[in-house]
Order: sequence, then C-alpha cells, then structure tokens
Amino acid sequence: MKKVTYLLMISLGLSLFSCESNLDEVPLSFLEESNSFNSAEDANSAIGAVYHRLRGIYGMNMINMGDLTADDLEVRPENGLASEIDKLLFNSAHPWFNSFYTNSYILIDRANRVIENVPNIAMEDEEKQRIIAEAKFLRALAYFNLVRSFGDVPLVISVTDDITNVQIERTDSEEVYEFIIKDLIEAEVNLPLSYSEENMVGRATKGAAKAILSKVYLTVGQWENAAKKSKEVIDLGIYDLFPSYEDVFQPENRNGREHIFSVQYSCILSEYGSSMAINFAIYFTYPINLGGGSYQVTPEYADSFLQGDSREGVAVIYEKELADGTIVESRTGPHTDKYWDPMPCGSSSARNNFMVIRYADVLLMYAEALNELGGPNQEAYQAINKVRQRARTGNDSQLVDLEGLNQAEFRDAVLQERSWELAFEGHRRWALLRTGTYIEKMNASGIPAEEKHLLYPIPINQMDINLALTQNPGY
Amino acid sequence: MKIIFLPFLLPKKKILLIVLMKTFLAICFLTTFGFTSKSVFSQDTEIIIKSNKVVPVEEVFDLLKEQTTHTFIYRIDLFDAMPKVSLKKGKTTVGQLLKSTVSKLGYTVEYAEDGTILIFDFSANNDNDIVEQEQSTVSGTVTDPTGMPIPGVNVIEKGTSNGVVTDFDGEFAIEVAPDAVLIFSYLSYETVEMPVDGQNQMNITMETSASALEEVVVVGYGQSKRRNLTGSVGSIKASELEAQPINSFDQALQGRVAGVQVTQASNAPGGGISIRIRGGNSISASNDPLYVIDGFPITNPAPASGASNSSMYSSPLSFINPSDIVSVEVLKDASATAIYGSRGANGVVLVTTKRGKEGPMIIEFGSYYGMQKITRTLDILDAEGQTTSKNEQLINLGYGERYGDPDGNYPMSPSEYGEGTDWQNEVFRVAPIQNHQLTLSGGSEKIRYLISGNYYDQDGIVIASNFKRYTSRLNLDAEMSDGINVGTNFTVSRSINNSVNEVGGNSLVALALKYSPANPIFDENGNWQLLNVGPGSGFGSYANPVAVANTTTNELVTDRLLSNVYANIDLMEGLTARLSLGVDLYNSRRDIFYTPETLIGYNLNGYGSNGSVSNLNLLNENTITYTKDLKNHSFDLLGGITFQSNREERTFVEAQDFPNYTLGANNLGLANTPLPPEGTVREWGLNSYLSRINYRFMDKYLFTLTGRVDGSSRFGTKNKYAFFPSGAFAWRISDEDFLEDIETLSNLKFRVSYGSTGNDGIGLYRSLSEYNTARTVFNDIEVLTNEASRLANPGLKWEKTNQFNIGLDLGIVDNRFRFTTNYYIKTTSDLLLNVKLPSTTGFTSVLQNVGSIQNKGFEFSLNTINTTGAFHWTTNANISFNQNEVLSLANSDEYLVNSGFSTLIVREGEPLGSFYGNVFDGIWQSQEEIDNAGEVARSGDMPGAMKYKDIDGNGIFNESEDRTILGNGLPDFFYGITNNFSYKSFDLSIFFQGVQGNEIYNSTRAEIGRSDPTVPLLRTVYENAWRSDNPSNRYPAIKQWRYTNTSSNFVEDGSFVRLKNVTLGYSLLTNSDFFQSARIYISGQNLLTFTEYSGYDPEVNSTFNSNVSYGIDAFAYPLARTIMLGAKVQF
Repeated sequence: MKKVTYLLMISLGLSLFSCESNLDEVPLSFLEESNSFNSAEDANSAIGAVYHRLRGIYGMNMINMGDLTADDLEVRPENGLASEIDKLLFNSAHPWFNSFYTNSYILIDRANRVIENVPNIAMEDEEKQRIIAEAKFLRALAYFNLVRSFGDVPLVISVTDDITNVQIERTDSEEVYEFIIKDLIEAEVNLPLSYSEENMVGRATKGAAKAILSKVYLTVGQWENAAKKSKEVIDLGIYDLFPSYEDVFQPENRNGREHIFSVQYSCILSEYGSSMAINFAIYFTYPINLGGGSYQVTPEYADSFLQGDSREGVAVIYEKELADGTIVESRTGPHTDKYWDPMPCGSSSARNNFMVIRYADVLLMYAEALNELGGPNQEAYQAINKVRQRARTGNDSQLVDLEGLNQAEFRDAVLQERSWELAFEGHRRWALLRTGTYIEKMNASGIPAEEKHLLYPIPINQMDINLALTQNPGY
Repeated sequence: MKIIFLPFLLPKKKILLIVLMKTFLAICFLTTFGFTSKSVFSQDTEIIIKSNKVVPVEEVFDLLKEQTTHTFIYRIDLFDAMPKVSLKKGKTTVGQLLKSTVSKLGYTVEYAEDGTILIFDFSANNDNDIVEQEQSTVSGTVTDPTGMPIPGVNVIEKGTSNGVVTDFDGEFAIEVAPDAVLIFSYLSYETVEMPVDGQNQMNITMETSASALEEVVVVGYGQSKRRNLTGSVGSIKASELEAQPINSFDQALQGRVAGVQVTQASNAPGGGISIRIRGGNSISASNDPLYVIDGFPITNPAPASGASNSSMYSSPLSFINPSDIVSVEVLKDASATAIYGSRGANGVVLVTTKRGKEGPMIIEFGSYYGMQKITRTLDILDAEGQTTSKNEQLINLGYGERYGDPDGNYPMSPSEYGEGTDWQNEVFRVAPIQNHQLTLSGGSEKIRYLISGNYYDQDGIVIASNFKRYTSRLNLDAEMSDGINVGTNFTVSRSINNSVNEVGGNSLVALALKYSPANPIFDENGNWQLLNVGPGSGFGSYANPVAVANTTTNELVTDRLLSNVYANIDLMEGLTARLSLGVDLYNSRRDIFYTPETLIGYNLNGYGSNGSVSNLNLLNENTITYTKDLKNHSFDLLGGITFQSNREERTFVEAQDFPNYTLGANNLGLANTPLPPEGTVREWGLNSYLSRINYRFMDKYLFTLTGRVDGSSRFGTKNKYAFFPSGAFAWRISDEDFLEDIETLSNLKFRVSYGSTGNDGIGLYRSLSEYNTARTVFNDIEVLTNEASRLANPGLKWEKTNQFNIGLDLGIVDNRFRFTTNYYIKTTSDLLLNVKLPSTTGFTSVLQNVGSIQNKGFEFSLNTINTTGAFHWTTNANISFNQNEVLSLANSDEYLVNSGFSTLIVREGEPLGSFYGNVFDGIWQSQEEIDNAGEVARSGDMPGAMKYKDIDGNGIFNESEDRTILGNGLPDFFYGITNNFSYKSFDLSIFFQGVQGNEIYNSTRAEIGRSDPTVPLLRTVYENAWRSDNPSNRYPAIKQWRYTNTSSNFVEDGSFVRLKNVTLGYSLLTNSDFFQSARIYISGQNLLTFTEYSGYDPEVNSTFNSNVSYGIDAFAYPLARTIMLGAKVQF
C-alpha cells in the first residue's frame, strides 16, 4: 500500500508543478501585430489586404453610391433597399450607407497599419517606399469617396489601439481634401509607372495617383492642378483608348492599356468574382436561368444617344443572345450590356473588374479642367473629340467632332459625353455634384431632389456609437 | 464450515432450517455466524467501513459477511422494525461494530470461544412452535403494505435461473432447495430477499420503493443521499432512458426534469439538441451545460468542417451509449453547481455509467428494431398546379401564358404536366432504426467488472441520411489492498454520420419543396434531371434533390475515447484521498463531395473537401474527503486540486474542378484547382482549487458551503483567476418534534441557496489581438494577404451568474406523494458582448464584458404512486416556468441580429432574441383604398398586394422604421407527464410532453408560402389567393411582391403537446436453463402531436445553438414517428 501511495503522491506533485504554465495563452496558429511585419513578404501581404478591402467600396457598392442616386440608372421596385436609394427615399438608417462608411474606414485603418509598421521592416528601400505609397494612395481613395459622400468626416490617420477613446469628431471637408491631396502627392512620387511581375499588375501606379489626384483637384475646383495632372497622365504615353468601345468591358481585356486603376476581380475562384454581371443582366437570363438583375437603364438615358454612337449598343440593350443562341428579350425595359460575362464562375460571380479610373475619363477630366480655366481651347477639344472619335467608329459623318462651343456649352457637352462614355461606372453622381447640376438633373428625371441630397446621411448606426458625430442637414 | 446452533434449533446437514409461524413475534435466537477461516474469528477482527452512512441493521451483517469469511442466517424481516444504525467511515473491529449497532438496539452479543457470535434478544417471548421440516415446494402470497395481493411479482431463487411469477391473487409456488434464498422483485417495489429457512409457506409484504430519500444521487465530486441535499438536483434513471429510440442520453432529459428544456434541434439521425437549464444565460458565450461523464468534465469540440452547403448539426454526446448509463443528474442551483466554478453557470449534467456488482456473471442482451416515418408532409402544388399558377402570375403581370403557348418554349399545357413528381415522396422514406446491446457484468469480492458493446444504426427519413455507432465500455473496480481501491472507466466509440445539408434554402428538404414538380427525376437520356425545366421557365433554379442526395458525399466519422483511472486511498479513519487521471481523445473527419450532378458541383465541375479535428483533453483531479460524525454534528469536507488541459488541431482542405471525380473526396489531389489549406491549433488550460463543507446538525439542519477558484487561459491577462462561492441551508422540518405526530407527513424539507458561478464558454484567445491571413487576387493570380482582424481586450473575463434558489420538498403518505418546487432568480452579469465600435477604429466591434440578463422561474415536480397492488400506477409530472429578460446591454439599449432567415432584436426589458419585423395588415382590396392610404401604401402597391402596419403612425410605411417585436421562441412554460402502469407481467408507460407560449419564425413558409410561383406554392396560398372575384384578406394575388425581411405573416404559435412515447412491455421468467428473464416491448415515439403550427413540426431550432435566434424553422429536417419492437434477455 505504501508503495502505491508514494507513487500517487509523486505523480500528484509532478502534476502540480507541470501545470502552472497552462494558463498562458499563446497563439499557435494565428499572427498578431507583433509578428505580422517582419519582412518584405509581410509588407506585401499587408498591402494586399488593403487592396482586398476595395471590394467593400467598389463593385455594386460604388454603383449604388455613384450611379443609383443619379439619373441614368434605376432599379426594379422589387429590389426594396436599392429602390429606396434610387428614389432618394433613404434615411440615415439605410444599411448601405453604414456598410460603405464602415468598409471605407476599415480600409483606412489597414492602410494606417501599413504606413506605421512597414517603415520599421528591414527591406529594400524602394520596395518599402512603394508599399507605403500604395497604402497612401488607397487611403486617399477611401477618404475621397467618404468626403464626396458624407461631407465632413472623421479624419483618422493613425492606428487605433485604444478601445475606449473612440469618439471622434468630423473634420472639415476642406481639411480632409488637403490630406487626400497630400497623400496622393506623396504616393505619386514613389509609385512605379507599371509593374512587370504578373501578380502585381492591378496595383496602384504613378498614373493612377496622378489620375485620381486630377479628379480630386477637379472636385475641389483647382482647375489648373487638375489639368496639369491629367496632362501628366496623358503625357506618360503608356495609356490609350481601346480601338473599340466594346473592348473596354470585355473580361479578357482587364488591366488593358485604357485601364488606369481597377479593382481586381477574377474567376479563378468564384469567391474572387464580381456581382455586377448578374445585377445588370436581363431578367431571368443569367447565365443559366439563374435569375437576373434588377439594375436597369432609365428610358431617358436609353433615348439620349445620338445616331451612330457605337456606345449605345453596349450601354443599352433590350435583348441578349445567350451562348447557345437563345435570344432573351427584356420584359422590363432597357438594360446595359457593360458587365455581361459569358463565362461567369458562379451565379453572382463573374470576371468584371471595377474600373475606378480609365483613360477616357482622364481625357474628359482634362477637357473639363481646361474649359473651367478659361473656356474650351484646342487641347480641350482634342481631348473630348478623341473620346467621340472612338465612339463613332465606322461612320465619320455621325457624332462629329465638337467645335465652336462657349464655356457653358462645352461644360454641358463634357457632362453629356461623360454620361455616354462612363455611365454605370460609378461616376455620374459625382460629376453632377461637381458641376452643380445634381438637383436640376434629378428633378428633370422625375425624382425630386433637395439640397440635403447633395450629401448622404451620416449612418445612424455610427451616430449611435460615436457620440461626437453630427448629422448632415436635412436628415 | 462450522456452524453453531442454539439448542432449540436442529442441525440438518449443513443447512439451517427453520419454520417460522405466522404468530411468531420475535425469537431469542437472531443470528448465527459460522466461519471457515483458520484465523479465529474474534471480536477484534478488523472491519473497514468505506463511507459514512446510515443503514438498516441488515447491512451491518452484510458488511461482516463481506469482510470476514462468515455466513449468517436470520429472518429477513427481523430488523424491519428496528431503527437504522449509523456507520462511520474508517476502521473498526467486529466487537466495536456490533456494540455500536446491535447492542445499542437492545440485543445481547456473546462471543463464544470458537469465534461464534450469538445474538440474543431476551425481551421477547420464545414460546414458539418450532418444527423442523424439509420442503421442496414453497408457496405463499405477496401483498402490498395494505394487504392487497400483488400479481406479476418475479420470484427467483437467488443465484439460479429458477423463477416464477405470482398469479392474479399474488400467490406463487416454487420448487426450491431448502436452503435457498428467494428474491421477490416488482416494478416500483423494494426488492425483497428472503431465505426460505425451511418454510413451505412464505407470505411476503413488499414495500413500495418510495423511500426516495435514501436514494443516493451523484453530485459534483461525490454523492449524497437525497435527504441530505441542500441543492436543487434533478435526476433520471436508466429505466427512463431505455425504450426510447434515442442516440444520445440528453434527448431523454426532455420532459423528465423540471427546469430543463430540451429541443431536438436536428431530427436527422445523430442530430444534436439544444438544451437549456433554467433558461439561457448568455448572448455570445455558450449556453450549454457542462457535461461530466463519470467525473470527467468533457468538452465537445466542434466537428470537422465541411464545404459550403453541407451544414449539419451532429450530437456531440452520442458517443456515450445511453444503454450504459445508470443515472443522469442535473445540477441546477448554485449550491450544486458552484463546485464546477467557471463552468457551472449553465447547469451541470452528471452522467454515471453502470458498474459491475459482486456476484455471478450476468449476461444481458437487448435489442430493438423499429421503423420511422415522417409525421406529416406539406400540401404543395403539383406540376399542373405550379404551371397553372405561373400562367396566372404572368397574366397578372401583363404577359401571356407561358405553359400551353404553342409558339413558346413550353407548348405543353398545365394539365398535360399532370401531377408530375412528388418530390417530398421521393425524398422522404420509411426508415429502419436498430440498436443492439450486450452487457457482461459481475465480479468477485476484489474485482468487479462491466463490459458492454453496442451497435446502433439509424437510417434517416430523408434519403441518404444515416447514423451508425459502435461503442464498447469497460468499467472496472478493484481492491488492491486494504484501503486502496482502484478502477477505471473506459469507453471507445466510432460514429459514422451520413448527412444531408440541413439548413436553409439549399438544404435537401428545401430542394424537395422548391424543385419544380414539373421536372422528372431523370431526363430523357436517363441522366439526372439537373436544373429546372429550362431557361425562361420562370421557376427558380434549384438542384434535383434526389440527384443531390444520391451523388453527394457528406460523411462525418467521429472516434472518441474517454478513459479515466482512479485510486481511492483511505488515509485514516474518515479521511480518503482520491486521485484520478483521465483522457478524452476526440478525432473527427468530414468528407464532402459534390459531383457535377449537383448544382454546386455543376458550376465548379466537382467540389470536395476534407476536414479533420483532433482533440486531446487531459484531466488530473486530486481530492481529499473527510467525514466525521460527532453526537449531533456531522461533517463532510472536500478539498481538491484539478488540472485540465486541451489541445485541438484542425485542418481543412478543399478542391474544385475534377476531370475525374470517381474517387470523390478520397483524393482531392485529383482536382485541377486545389484551394489553400486551412489549419488551426488551439490550446486551453484550467487549474482549479475547490472545497466544500457539508455540515449537518442533528440531521435536521443542513449547511453546505462551496468554493472554487478557477484559473483559466481563456481569460484576459488581467483576470486569470476567479473565485466562485456558494452557500446553502436546508431544514428537514418533518424531523422536528412538533411535526412528528402528523403521520401522513413523511418528508418536508425547506432549502435555500445562493451562489456564484461562471461561464467560461467564451472561446479561445478572445482577449488577444489577431491578424487574419487570407488571399486576394491581382490580374487573375492569387496573393497572400494579412490584416488585423481583432482588437485585444486584456480585461476579458468569464460571465458571472449569481443564482438564488428557494425550494421545498414534500412527501406524504409514506412518500407516496412527493412534491418538489423551486423558485430561482439567476442574474448573469459581465455578459460577453461584441460591443460595437465606431468604424473609424477600423473595427466594427470588440468583445467586452458588459450587460446583464436575468432568468427567473418556478419549477414543480410531482411523483405519485397512485395505486399499489395488482394494478400498479405511478405518475411523474413536472412543469417549468422561466422568464428571461435582458437587463442591460452595451452602448445601446438594443441591437439587431440577422439569423440569416429573419431579423431578431435583443432589447433591454425584453426576452433574449425576439422576432422583429413588420406587421402584416391584410390585403389591399381596391385602388381606392390604396390611394386613400397615401404613403402607408408602398410604391407599386395595387389591389391584391400586402398591407403592412404603419407602426409609428407617421403616415408613411417604411420597412426599417415600422418594425416591432413579433414574438419570441422562448416558451412561457414546458412540461412532461409520465404515467407508468403495471399489471401482472405487463407494464405500460405513457409519456406526454409539451411546450407552451413560444413563437416560431416559419422561414420555410416564408419561402414557399409566398405568392410567387418560382417554387411550387403551398396549396392554401394558391387556392385562397386574392383574386378580383375572391377578395382574400390573408393571401396576396399570385404575382411577385416585395416581402419585407421579417413579417408577422410567418410568425406562428409554436405551442404543442406531444404523446412522446408509449411503451408496452411484457416480462417473463422461465425455468429454462437458457435464459433467466426476458422482457419484450413495443414502443412508439412521437405518436401524436397537437399543435397549430403549420410546418412539419413545432419542435424546431434551425439555427442550432444560437443563443439569440431561437425557434426558427428553415427547412428543418422533419421529425419522425417511430414504432419499434424490443427485447431484453438476461442469461
């Protein structure tokens, strides 16, 4: 008996000593901040995550924020939440504002973490500076969308690690714009002209920074800077229009010479696909009887095209021929064909990139900026006519070059050209706001808009938890 | 063997024969001991008493018999009238033992020179007529205490298979050897063992087994007599587990224990349940009780992961074979649970398995076989109906008819489609269930064993679903040497679960309801008809459910080994140390494969996954108990240190695009597109220090103090240790002198307890910050990403529940009527909530300990013995009322939860998780009505559209603003009532169970009950739809309407009463050499359900273990009615 007792006592004693450490919690299979920024590879992974966050802002989100509240796009009333946006019947509780706001700030925080942590990594300086520049570019892009949408927004430029002191006030939009411009200027310096590695194509470039910067300047009315930046993009000589308008939207042509910066989607796995294709598809057709989209072209937009504009056939369709030759007619009016993907990888997953900015946009920005500086000059006409020339491919007698317009006429012409060229690409609302024509155009399209609609409401969910926030007037 | 007799008894061979007359009151000779041992039996022989107990006098002799070599003989009922004697744990001698027991009772003990002990009672007359007689037939009558004969009593000659059953008049006659001992047993009566002692006439009185106070119940780290309990403990016995077609013991708790709500969350074979003891305490952490199997607190790792669209909910407890269980105890109040500290807040379920007893080997074989069938099907439109309704919809939308249009794609008219395929009929089947159990048990004085093997096989009522389980068990107890007992519990099991996707719109049940009946099973080429009839059909795209079931692999294989070894060491009188080491090894593997015949596999050209989990849980427990009885004071002290640690390793791989998919998920390497592998390793540790003091003053005033300190790795660095105390007091009022005269009162006990317990089910590593590694794509090439996914909160800690309990136990008329009631208030604070953060932080939420929630309620249970005698009838009933209320939340007084099927709200002052949405207000009957309603009508509304209430009364209907609470899934009360009848060899048990006052969100109807024939509509929805000539105010016109996210339309009363089980059994005894006893029975499960609920079954919880979204029916796997036939034979 004694032997057994001793044996048991010994084992008890051993277990007492051996078990104290089991209260320490050491992560065995996930990383923390402390071990996430050790190498150049880590820096690339971290910036990759920031790019990935663009998907929460662009894609259908940007269509909803940038097109649906404007006059070219409408949605079937069955799509309740979208319809509220479309008809300007939303209030601050609409969940899409909250998700747009939230996704933007998550991106900003992840970019802040790159900007703060990557400088401490021992790695090649050029790559280090480039990655920081990419983070600044993406952060600026997110703030640009926020400030365009909500006006004054909290400006968070460093990592949050204090979970109690989180009540942050809105910063004056001018200050936000200054910060965006600063970020983009810094990004522009260290971003490369292009990437040679296949798996880096699609990341931010010098041209992308310049183009976005031009748009920011245009938005804040710094015409000269806007024109300068657009010109710099044009002068880089690495961008050009595709010969045919149709080509811009072919999934095979993603990241082509006209695409300056696009959010990357792919069908190598269905989770990487985009959902624009099914949302815009003709009802009941897409792609193998999987339903179809509720986003449609307004009849006014469908009727706006001039004779001989090849863009009409892409922007507006009433029927679609399927791969097997079946022709499906729209039962609900005009749709757009811009996002059709004949080879999707899932019911709501296709290959279409979201084009944040493309060369045609830069040409039109250049024309717009020059016109605002002092009326249309030759360069301004050249820029806009370059866009029209492609559009009239096949028949030079139609959609002829513009000439002889005064400043106001030219301004209208650029706005109209943007509508034909860039519709449903997330630009229309911002262009109308920028040109001060939003309320007028909306009212003309039959949707009563007021002053308050120039800004979106600060999401009520954010007001509830950040007591320092104030609401935009009218909401 | 040498036997000494008093002179007036005559020796006959080695056998003592006495015939006792009916008039015999007492004999002077009471007991004689013989011995064979060479060592002289003396009053100094050492006797070990293992634990403190109060026992009948007979047990003193049992003890002597066990620990010496002596046998003894006395009349069985001789001591019946004697008071009990109390034995104190420790070592004593024969002399002391007899002195402190038998002598105390007024007997004289004499020790003869040769070691014989003679016990005399000189107070009694001894003018008895004693006749020596040898008989081989013994006959007699068995009666109950009131003198009523009891028919059907089993009379067995001990140690043999010789037995008979009493007849209708309670009479029996049996041929036995003259020295035999007869065992009389009958359901609900105390078994009587009676030596024949040469009698040829034996009249037996059997006492009802109502002495439940002496029943021993298992409590945390020990056991207690029910009379000594201060806490609230419910228990069920093996008899209640048997004869139900269950794969997991927790199912048997349903309706049996007050305060325990059991909801079969998945009716799939091997499916899991939701169990709530006194309501849900937690929003984000676990609400499951702690399960302790033979002292081992187990954790249940989530099973291995599977690819998307393969959701299942398997029971983590089915590895325990219910047939191995002897009792299940449910600890409910803080007095009982605080000993489990940071894991006790949700209640504790203690499972005790059967053990071998000393005696010859008993072989028991039990089997049942049954058939299961769906209880009801839903009445949905057939092919003609769906095509007709589609045509009607198209006309209502301003188009032409599609079906029957000779120029269109669908020239066949609806009537030509006919009935089409009845997919419910194709998917549901009559399915067999079977269970086979072999148990061998027995033992010698030193070693006792129980070995069992079990095979359980259940086909699901949905095709392709099946559950198989193989278990085996070895329980061993051995006395190594004086004062050292060691033993082991060892069980190993394998279960194989072939399941179908269970939840939501792509579940197999959903497909059966949504896939168009116009489709055939096979297309014209003999291949599976894959998609709906064709493009432009207007029918939703769903996969053929029969094809999906037949071509999909969805298999979960789980192996589990649970073993512990223990040693009990008696250190000194009353002081015992117990050491145990345990291991719980869990391995599960899940294989999923979708061939291109399934919709998901069609898009991906084959899609499969392998998931695996390996979990190792180690436990070391070291406890010391000390028992001391002084004159009026009794103490039981417990102290202990325990260590538990766990390591879980999990891997998951997926692959897509299989040029050759014949090997399915067995080799994912054959795929063109392997997806990135996933893996996690997680560890936790729990170090605990526990103690308990039980103090009884005069056996009337009972006190319990419990404390446990838990150190847990799960808690934040600032809060590693927590202390959980409790105190309880009980007063056995019926033992007070002033109540002694009330003869009908057999027990009255008042109990009160208060204490604190914790909930550490808060996940692992939750206090640390986390970065999440994933992938994104550039230019069609994947690259790695890594980003922050969680903010650290070093202050994170357990959720704390303070519980107050007050209870009363009442027993009257010899405890024939026993009533127990409890009232409790449980307040849980430091609730773990994902507190919302402003997005500007870069995070949407962080886990914090804020908020509180309260559960309070009454529990009543009643056990009665209604009749005794020939016809025996007992009733057990219980009813529980629980009220759940959220007291406070973090930085807002409410928040919304999207269950995926409906929106729920968690709001202060309301029960946890209420359905939250718009109120359906009828149908617009005319354009005029719509025009007059202004903005209350939604844009696009027209006659036949649904109307919703403008809740805030601002004249505008807005889906998000005009929402209100529509009900919740928590019941007002739930109850169970069991009636057991027996008559002769027949026994009948009827069990009803019910739930009252809960609502169900019928998400199934929200999909097929819409007026949009993309799916076959419910017949009522179609036939009663609004039409200009049929102004329905309930069902909208056949069209496409904007449905709101959550509507009162689909909230239904979920109350029900169910005839859960009826079992009719017949027991027989034979004289056959082949077997001793046998019982055959027929049993029906889920026979009748009374409910207003329109879905398959009201007992449903599609979101499984979600704490907030309770009571959602999202195409839940339907309930089966089971009829089975079983038999149990003892050899």
